[in-house]
Amino acid sequence: MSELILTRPTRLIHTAEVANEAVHSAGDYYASGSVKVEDDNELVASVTFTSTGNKVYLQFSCSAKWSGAHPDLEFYVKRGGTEIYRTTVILAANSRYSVAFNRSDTPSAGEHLFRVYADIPFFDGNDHYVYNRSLHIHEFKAG
Amino acid sequence: MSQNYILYDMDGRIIGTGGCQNKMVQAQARGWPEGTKVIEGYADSKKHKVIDGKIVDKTTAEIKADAQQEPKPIPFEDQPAHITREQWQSILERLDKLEKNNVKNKN
Repeated sequence: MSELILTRPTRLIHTAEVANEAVHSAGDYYASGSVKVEDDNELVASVTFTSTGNKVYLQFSCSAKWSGAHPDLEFYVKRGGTEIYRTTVILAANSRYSVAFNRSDTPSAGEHLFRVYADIPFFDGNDHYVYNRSLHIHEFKAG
Repeated sequence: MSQNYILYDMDGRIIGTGGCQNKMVQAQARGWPEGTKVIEGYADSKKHKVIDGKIVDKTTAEIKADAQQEPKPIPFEDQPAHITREQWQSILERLDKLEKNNVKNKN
């Protein structure tokens, strides 16, 4: 097992000494309003930003309300036209849930559009909503 | 470097708010339905709307109408009941006993 050696900084690092754009929020999106989800790939959040080509960290969360039966709720993330993440949430009937996921990515330098979609592949005709949708993207300095 | 933005649809309904890089404000409308617009600023979608590119207060009637479109609370009797498999097994065993007793009584 390798040994991890941690050293304590000898002085505080002030914000002014962190290089510009070294650690920053590339963008964020929030909407409290609900979006009705069926089987037609509903866009629920998006952020467009200019990347320096370093690692980015994406965080998404929302609330979901389920009526009637219990279909699978799918979320997927697209960077431009490329799907970079997909997850399925299985929800009990007539319930409310909090949904959250994270994803790291290393896009090329330049403008990028990140979009989060919700979908019900086996839609049952009942009312299903996602709301309090929040998407944050942070970019880190290369290390 | 950060700028607050407001996304709104053709009816002035705010569909999202957030922060972005200064030069990327207008780009936040990408991917949303045609007619979606962006302005700089901060707003509360429950209290505000955008008319002619300006943030204005919603009327009380509009706030009430929006609230009615939000998901309603789930009635207690419709909420799922969470029990363990052991509890479920116990219920099944008790039902079996009741059925056997009923058969005995009929005989």
